[in-house]
Order: sequence, then structure tokens, then C-alpha cells
Amino acid sequence: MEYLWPLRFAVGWMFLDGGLRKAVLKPEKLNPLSASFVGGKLVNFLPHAGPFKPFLLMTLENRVLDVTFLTAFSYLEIVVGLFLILGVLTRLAAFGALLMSAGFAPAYWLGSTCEDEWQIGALLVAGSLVLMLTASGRTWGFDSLLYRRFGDRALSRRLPLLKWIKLW
Amino acid sequence: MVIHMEKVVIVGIVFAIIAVGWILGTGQWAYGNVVGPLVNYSKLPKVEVTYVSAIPTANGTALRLNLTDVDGPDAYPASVTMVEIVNSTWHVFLNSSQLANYTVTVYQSPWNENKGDAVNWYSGFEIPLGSQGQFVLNLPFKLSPGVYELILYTPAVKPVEVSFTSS
Repeated sequence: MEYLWPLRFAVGWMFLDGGLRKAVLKPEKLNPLSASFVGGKLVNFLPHAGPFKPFLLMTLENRVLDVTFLTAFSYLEIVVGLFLILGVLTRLAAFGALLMSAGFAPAYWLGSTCEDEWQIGALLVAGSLVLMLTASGRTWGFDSLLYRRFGDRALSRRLPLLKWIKLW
Repeated sequence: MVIHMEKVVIVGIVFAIIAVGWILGTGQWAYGNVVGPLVNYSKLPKVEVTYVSAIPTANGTALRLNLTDVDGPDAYPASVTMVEIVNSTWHVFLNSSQLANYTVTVYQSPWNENKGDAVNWYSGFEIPLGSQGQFVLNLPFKLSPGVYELILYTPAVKPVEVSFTSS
């Protein structure tokens, strides 16, 4: 399990870095009045977004939804990234990372020099899956304390789907 | 014969199938890299004309062009540096500075963000990937009624041709 730490750091840092760049280091990226606003990125995804196109168009045509979505996504990236690196609620954080990695599939076709976005997305999906399944935060992470004190815990003990999503 | 598998093996197999399916499926969808033909839509720009009309005005022609870029890199907009209008007996080239001078308005589509369609002296029409705009040009010459070909030139790619009728 110790050998998984580099993967936990890599996946965590990808999200933490992405979120920090938008929300903290260059907040103009989340300002719709700024030339740096990242909403323009979503426009770039449109031509080959496939089944995601209607959702993208709906988001882009509603400025409040657009800004709210991008802001929430950025902060979620920070939380998920930080939790993965520190090993806090790692399985839940890795599940979030998995959803976000799969969620940028509309951008997978973008890669003017190589298959950039797809390679990043595919590796993050696989990495998040491994971190989620192996409960990697229980070694070299704060989850070791949680596990020792509370044992194995799921999001819900009763609801059928949620009982499969473990917290740490 | 009954095969007993540990739960961890079953879960492992299920998620291995999900991971392999996702990677191969999305790779095929985005780049055709499983069974081909190989594609990469973000290599070269592809400008499409979704609407064109030409209406005579008091001192020329009002040309309306809806342009979008559906392929190419996301870092830089596609450029239409030259436009040719041609019929069987006549033709005219409009270079980038003429395109800029004759364009009076650029209407942005509702989904365009801060980097919308634009025009300038050096690149002509600039269309960011995925955005769409309507360029309204006041051409200082009249087009006789009839059918014309409009040819848009983008560096490094094949020109785009569409027909339109001038009323």
C-alpha cells in the first residue's frame, strides 16, 4: 500500500493545481467579465462533445449557471485534491475525482499535438479507480486514524447504492 | 463444477472491465485509436458557413455570413484571411483589411463567451473553436441578381465553398 502514495499525490495534485489556478492564483479565470474567464474553454469543447453538447449549451447560454458551475467545480477540485494528498476521506475523494475525470470527456477530443486531454482523462479515471478501491489513505494518510477509530464506513448503511461508496 | 471467487476478485474484475471499456471506448470516440480510421479533429481548423445572404443596398450590397469553427486547436482562433465571390463571368477577392473595413457588425451567438468572433486587418475573420457569429459586411459594390460561389480561404487548409443567391 505504501507504493500507492505517488499515485495518490499525482492524482491529488492534478486536481489541486487545477483548482488553485482558477480559484486562488488567478481568480480572473472565474470572472465572467475578464478576458481570462475559463468559460471560453467550454465553448471549445462544443463541436465534438457528442451527448454532452446539450448540457454544455444549456450551461453556456445561462451565465449564472455557467459561473456557478465553474466556481463550484474549481473549489471541488481543491478539496478533492487536498484530501487525496493528505489521505483524508480518500475513497470518497477518489470517487469525486473519478466523476470529475470522466466528466471532462467532452474535452477528450482536444489534443492538437497528441491525444492530450484523452490521455489525461483516461489516466485520471484509472488512477482514481485504483485509489478508491484500495483505500489508499489508510497508509500514510489521516484515514489510518479514522479507520482505527471507526472501522469501515460507507456514505449510508441502508441505501443500496450509497453503501458501496466508502468514506475512507 | 462450481467456481468460488473472493469478493475482492469479483469487484476487481468488474472495475477492470469498466476501466478498460472507458479507456478504449473514449479513445475510439475521440481519436478512432482502436479500430480506426485514426482522426484528430483538433489538428487543423475547419470553418463552416451556416448561413449566407446578399441583399442590395443604396450604395452596395449587405452580405451576411454566419461562420463557425468546428475543428482545430483550442489555443488560437481559426482565421479567414481572404474571401472570394465568384460567378461564371466575374469575381472579386476581399483581403483581410478589406474584410475588416467592410464589416460593420459581428453578432455573437448566445453561447459565445468572452472570446467571441471578431475581425481585424491582419487575420481577417477570427473564429474561436466552437463559437459562432454573424458577420455583417457592407460591400461597396453591387452584386447583380444571380447565383454566386463564396470561397473562404483559411491558411493551411482547403478553401470552403458555398453557393448563395443575390436578390
